[in-house]
Order: sequence, then structure tokens, then C-alpha cells
Amino acid sequence: MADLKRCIVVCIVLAFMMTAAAGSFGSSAKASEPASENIFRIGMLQQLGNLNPFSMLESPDYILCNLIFDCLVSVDQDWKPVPNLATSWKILSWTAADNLTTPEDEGANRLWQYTIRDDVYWHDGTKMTVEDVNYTLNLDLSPDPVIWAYEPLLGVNYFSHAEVNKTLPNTVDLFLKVPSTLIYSLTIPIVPKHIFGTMNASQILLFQNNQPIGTGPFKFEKYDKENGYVTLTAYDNYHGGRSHIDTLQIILYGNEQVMAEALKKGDIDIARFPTANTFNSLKNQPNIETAMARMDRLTDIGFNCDTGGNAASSVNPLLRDEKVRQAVHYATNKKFIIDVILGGYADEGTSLTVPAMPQWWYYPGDDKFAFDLNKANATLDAAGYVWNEAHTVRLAGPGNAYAPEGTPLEFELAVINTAPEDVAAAPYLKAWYALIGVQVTLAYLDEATMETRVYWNCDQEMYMWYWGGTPDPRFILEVQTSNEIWGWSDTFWSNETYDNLFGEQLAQTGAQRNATIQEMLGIFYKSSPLIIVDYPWFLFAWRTDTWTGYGDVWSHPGRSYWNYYTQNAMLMEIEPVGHGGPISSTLAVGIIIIVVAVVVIVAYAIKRGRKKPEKG
Amino acid sequence: MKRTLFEWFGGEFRSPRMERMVLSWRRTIGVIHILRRNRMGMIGASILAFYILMGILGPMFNWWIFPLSDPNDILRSSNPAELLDPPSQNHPLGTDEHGIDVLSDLVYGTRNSLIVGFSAALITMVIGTTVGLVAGFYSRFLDELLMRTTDIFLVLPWIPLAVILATVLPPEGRPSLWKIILVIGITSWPMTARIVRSQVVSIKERGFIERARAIGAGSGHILRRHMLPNIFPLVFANMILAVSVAILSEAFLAYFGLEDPSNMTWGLMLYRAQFFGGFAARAFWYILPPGLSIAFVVLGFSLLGYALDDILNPRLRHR
Repeated sequence: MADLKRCIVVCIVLAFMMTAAAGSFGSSAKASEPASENIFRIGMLQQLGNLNPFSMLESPDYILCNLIFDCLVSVDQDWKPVPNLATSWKILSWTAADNLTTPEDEGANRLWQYTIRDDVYWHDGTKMTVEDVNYTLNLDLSPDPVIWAYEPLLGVNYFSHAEVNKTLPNTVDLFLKVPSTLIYSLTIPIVPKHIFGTMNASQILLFQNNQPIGTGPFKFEKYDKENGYVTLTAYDNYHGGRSHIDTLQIILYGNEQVMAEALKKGDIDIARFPTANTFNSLKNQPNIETAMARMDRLTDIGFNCDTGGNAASSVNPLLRDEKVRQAVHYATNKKFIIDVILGGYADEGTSLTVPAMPQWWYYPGDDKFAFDLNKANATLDAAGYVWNEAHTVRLAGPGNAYAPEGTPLEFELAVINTAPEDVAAAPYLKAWYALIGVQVTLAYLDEATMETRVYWNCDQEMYMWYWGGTPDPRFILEVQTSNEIWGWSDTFWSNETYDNLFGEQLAQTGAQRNATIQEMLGIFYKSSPLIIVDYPWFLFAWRTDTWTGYGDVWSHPGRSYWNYYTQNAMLMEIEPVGHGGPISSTLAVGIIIIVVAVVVIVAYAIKRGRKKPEKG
Repeated sequence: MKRTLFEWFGGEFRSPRMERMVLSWRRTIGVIHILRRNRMGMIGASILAFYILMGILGPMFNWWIFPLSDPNDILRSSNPAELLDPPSQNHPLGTDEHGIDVLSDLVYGTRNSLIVGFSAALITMVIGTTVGLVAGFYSRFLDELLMRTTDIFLVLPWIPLAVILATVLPPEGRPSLWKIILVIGITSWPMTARIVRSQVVSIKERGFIERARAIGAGSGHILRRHMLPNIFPLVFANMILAVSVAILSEAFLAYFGLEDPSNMTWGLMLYRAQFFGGFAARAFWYILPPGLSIAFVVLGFSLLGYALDDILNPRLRHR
């Protein structure tokens, strides 16, 4: 009996050790493709969703999509619009006399015309034509069910339909319902009609697209779910020239530390690391170079401020009170989070546009919600929220417009459990908010649950998440309009002035448009449906002994592979250093295991051999 | 008068409750005496005494030995100027990613780790013993039913099962210590059930049970008065071992990120060390203390468990 128990305990301890070890072995087992050609390996922490451009949600999906598909218009390494599938574009006025089919009324700036390349072939060899572009544009405009993916860029509210131009060769016309000049901002991937055309809109939304066919610089080879990596190969006929990379692998890791070790060992060539500690530890490693980039990414704390009756009944209605949100904004110490948790690798957050694109960035000036607990408490006092007797939480006062008297300021704040920086910030947020009488309960969710709660159930009260935008602020601005409620809007916030201004800026250009955008951002900042905490910098580390020519991602943030609409400057330009690496780590681990096993068996055999005669 | 008083306490004339308590007290003293002669058992007991004292009294060391800070009071305890600092005079075990003393984390974590260990082991024992007793004692049908259920739990890979349970138990996304305790308790009882059942089956065939039946004792009475006391030593020794398994499992689940980040435990320390880049920064002061503590406590419980098993199980007792 005692032997049995001993056995169990030993087994459990062994299992513990092996599981811990499996994490590190797993990484080396993954990258086991032949090394005969030029392989470039990217490590990634998030998991892959799917490769259907119309239902993707996670960053890795978008990155892959940008490698496999081409947009009509892309951006260069400085996020400036450049031709991709469309060689040129212009804005026209049109009249009914032009003999075009039935848009509601005529007017200026309401016809966008794109000339499409004639020398592009799909990865399966079929020629890409203007029909494919026409099909994709009309598909994005399909009203029922709504193809939501590119709605903020190509929504039914502002666009009518697309048509192949009957007189000009390789030209597609896009008709608008309202005048707009933002023709360069159509960064949407073009999909093959001969594959997607066989399905209706609802089937397309559910389509998994396991073997995506695009026109992009890399062909999809396979997604090995079991070992967690994606293989792509260079597309020889790419219209922008062939990459020096023969095989591109994206290796998915569940653990940042394992990924850092993989980079040190040479199992991957480049990766982005979310925590400052890991990034700093890679700084002085041999053959490793680190780099930072300011990206179009922001971290936010969101509130469910739905006023239209969409929110689940479990949601505390006091979140609809602007004053509560402003008080919480005052109680959020953004500078502390940046200095302590992000190691200083971020800019302080203000509004929806990012400082990496300074032409659009918003700075609130004197109205800034700088960390100030006195102001936060004063805001709540003025709004009639009184402390309870035990002085633990504030309660709604008499005549509160949002909830009955005595409703406590108690909310659930969810963070993504795989984001170290958010998990680390959460206890501080809870502690600061408690000081102003707002009690938050922390919940740690995976990204899929977060999506369900925020978007499909509308029952998450507060959440810490992120937004990434497009080179033109149109996308991120539209997301917060009331058009996008039950679409891209995570806050369910609505503001009529904001909505009207959004319509106005579409038709404006230059300084006039910028002024309108600044006004919108001001309204958004003041109402605080999202508290923009910070604009995190992306922390990259890459190997210098395998590939060279990564370039300067700090000056040209559009270079890095972590972009959704670019020409992939980095991946198109890097060149291999030379062949032959160190002995494969998989092999090394295998040899060690075999040696240990042999030693154990031999020792056991010797022991047994000695014992037998004694017993006999 | 004396007799009615015993009866009032539910006792019987021949074996009054008082007499039994005295007897069991003497037996306990006897066990301790034997244990004192068992060197391994004593080492285990000393390790455990150290950690249990640290768990109970630890936070009070605030005043007398060393200034500790409560990791849950993050605004007061954290120190942005000392993030992941190596051991120094002020912080003998260095600091964690919030600048909180690792020694504080360790001391506050001890209490929670031990609470999880003991509570989960208790649940394991209650479920395991009940299932084992009922299966071994009652009809063949019930036996088959319970034992096949036990088999199902035994063949289920417990790590994924525990991970899934910890994730889906409501309220979703809000990990808590009690969830972890429940999960470990639910997943680790089958082995106990099997051990108890086999013992019950063997005792059931003994003469004194038959005699008890012959004089009209009911099943409940036999289970309570004859079965339970006879299997108790076994159950007790098993529970001590179960505590070590539970503490190890807790470390596991916490390492997978399934534990409430605001309730410090040793497993959570390891999880945070790896989650926030402590491994990459080679912060050995953050990794070794919880790791060694887990190893020592598991060792302590195992040594004590084996020693008790040797003592309480008459067939293994060395005279």
C-alpha cells in the first residue's frame, strides 16, 4: 500500500516536471521544417482565429490576411497611401445624364473611380480582373446579413454600390450616398469572385477559408493546428516583386518566456514581446537586436454606456452617467501604469487617434483628466453620489437620473487574462477606484469570452481592452458612432453631435477636416465612454545572424510585419545572412532524453542483477 | 444515575462515550510516542510545523522580526522604484514585479496554500470515504455503480479536467480560492474511494461484523461504530498524503493562470514570475522561494504520511 502511494506521489511530481518541460520542448518541436531554403520564422503569442477576411477578429488573422491578400490601396512604411491593386484613383462628380444606374441623387464628390492592375493573378493561377474588385466592393456593401468587417470603411450608410465602368478598361466605379473625399482610405482586401461568389452572404460569414487564395506576396501553405504554426511560401508572380523569403512561418506560442528562449536559441527570427521585463532581458543578448515602434494601437478602459435599452438588465445603469465615467477617468493614474507596468514603453493616452500619426492626434490641454483623486471625489460629490455609512462605496443620491436612490457604484471590470500588462494594472485600478467610492470586481476573461460579453450580450460593465485603427482615422471614428451599435461599437455610446460631425468630416479635406475631427475627439474625451490609458509601443526583437535589413521601425512604423494594410516593407526587403545554424534543439533534447533513459535502464538492470542471487 | 447520563449522551452501557474518548486519547499519545521514534516522520512533522506556524503567525511578524507588507494592499505595498530587484538588506528575498517584498509574498502565500491544501484534502476525504464505504458495504449493484463512476473519474486525465472545471465554474472569469479547492477536491477523490472500499470489503467479512449483525445491529450502526473506526487510521494517513497532492495541484492550476490574482499563493507567485517576465529576467529570488516551499511542504506531508501509515497500519508496524 505504501509503495502504491509512493508511486502516485512520484508520478505526480514527474508529471508536474514534464508538463513544465513540455512548454519549452514544444517550442523547439514546432519549428522542424527542412532548412534547405530561406526560412523566416515569426513568433507570435496570440492564437489564430480564421482566415476569412470577412470574419477575422484577432491580430494574427489580420497580419496573415495582409500577407495573403492585397488591398485596393495600401500604405507604405510611413503609412502614406500607395497604389496596390488599384494603380490610380480619382474622385468625380456625376450627373444622371452620365447614364449610370440609379443612385438617389446626383452631386459632387460622389463617384470614386479606381483603375485596377491588369497583370495580377490569384495564387491558384486564375487571372484577377476588375470583376473580382467589383464583386468584393458590392459584397462589403451587402445589406442582409450585414458583412460587418469593413463597414466602418465601406458602410451602407455612406455608399451605394460599385459598378464596372463600361467605357474605360479595368476601371471600377463606386457610388456614394454622401459626398466624400477620402478615396485613398479604402484599405480593404480583395477576394476572388470564383471562390466567394459561390456562396451567399450568410454562408460567407460562416466560411472558414482554410486554404485562402489571394493575390498577396505570400501563398498559404498549411496551418498545423496541432503544433501551432502556419507555413506560407513566396508567391513568384507577385506584382510587387518576389520576397527573398522562400518560406515564411508564423509560430504560435502560449507563453512569452518560451518565445523569448526560442529567439535566443534561434528557433525563431523575430517576435514582438508585450512585457518590458522580457524585452529588456533580450537587449544585450548575442546576435539579437531590439527595436521599438510607435503603432496605431491604444489600450483603453471601456464602459457599457448604452442608453438605448440594449444593455442586459444586470448592467449597472450608473455607467450611463457621464460624471461617473469622468470621476473614474480622474482616478486612473495613466502615468503610473506606463512607468511601472509598461517600463516606460508607451505614450500617455488621451483620445482615439494615436500620437504615432501626429496629424490626427488630439491633446486635451487644460481640460485633461490628469490623475487627481480630489477632483474625482469632487465630481462624484457634485453629482450627488454619497458615501455609505461604512465609507466603502458611494451610492446614488435622491433624484439620480439613471438609477434609483441608493444604487451603489459597483461594477465588474474585466481584463484579458493573456495580457500581462492588463492583468498587472487591474489591482491598481481596483485600489484607485476604491479610494473614490467606486468598487470594482475583477474578472479575468479570454478574448473570445470578452467578445461575447461586450459585443453579443452587451452585459460587461467595464473592460480593459485595446483598439487598433487604420492609417486614416475614419475607421476608429466611425466605430464610436451610433451607426455601429450592434456593429463595431464596444461602448454602445451615442452622441448626436458626434454622429453629425462624423458625416461632415467625410466631405471635408485638409485643415477643415482636421478641425472637425479634433472637435469630435474633444466630445469623446469629455464624455469618456473609453478611457484611453496609453498608446503602447511595440517591442520587437530579431536575430541578426540569420537575416539582415530589418530597417528602422522607430522612424518608419509601417515597416514592421505587425501591420494590417501595408506593403510589408520589412518582409519584402530583408535578406538572408547565410546558411547552416547550430544543431537542431529538437535533436539535442531527443539525444539527452535517450541518454538518460539508457542510463536509467542500465542502472536498473545492474541493480536487479545484483539483488537476484541474494534473494535466491 | 450514571447509566442514564451516558444514555443521555447517546452512549451504551458497555462502551460509554467518555471511555472511548479516553481510549482514543491514549491511542493518540501512543501514536505520537511511536512517531517520535520514527526519524523520517519527525523530520516531516518539523517541516510542517515550521510552515504552519509561518502561515498562522507570519503576517504578525510585521511587528517583531521583519517589516512585511500585505501584497493585497497594493497601493501601500508596491514600490515602483524597486521592481524585480535582487535580494538586498531591505528585501532579503528581493522584490517582485510590483516592487513588493518577495518574503511578504511568501509569508502571505503560505497561509492560502495551506488552506487550499487542507480544505481540498478534506473534500477529497469526505467524498472518497463516503463513496468507498457505501460501495464496499452495500449491495453489489450499488458497488458496481459507484466503482464504475470512480473508474470514469480515474481514467479522465485530471489536469485538463481540473483546468476545464476551474474555467467553467460560475461566476465565469472570476477565479477564487474556493473554486480551486472545489476543483481539486472533486478531481482527486477516486483513489481514496478505491483504497477505502478494498478495506471495507475485507472488514465486512470479519467475525465481529457478523456478530454485530446477529445481535440485530443495523447497517448505519455498523458503518458508524465498526467500519469507520477501523478504516479511520487508513483514511487519516491518506488524507495527509492528499494534502501534499492538493498543494501540488494548486501550484499547477495557479501556474496555468486559473487562480484569483489577488489571493497570493505559492503557485500564483510562480505564475506571476513567469507571466511578468521574471524567468526571462533570471529573477531566481522570485522563483526559488515558492518553488522550494512547495517542494519542502510536499516532502513534509509525504514523510509524515508514510510514517503514519507505517504506524497506524498494524501490518506495517515495526515492533
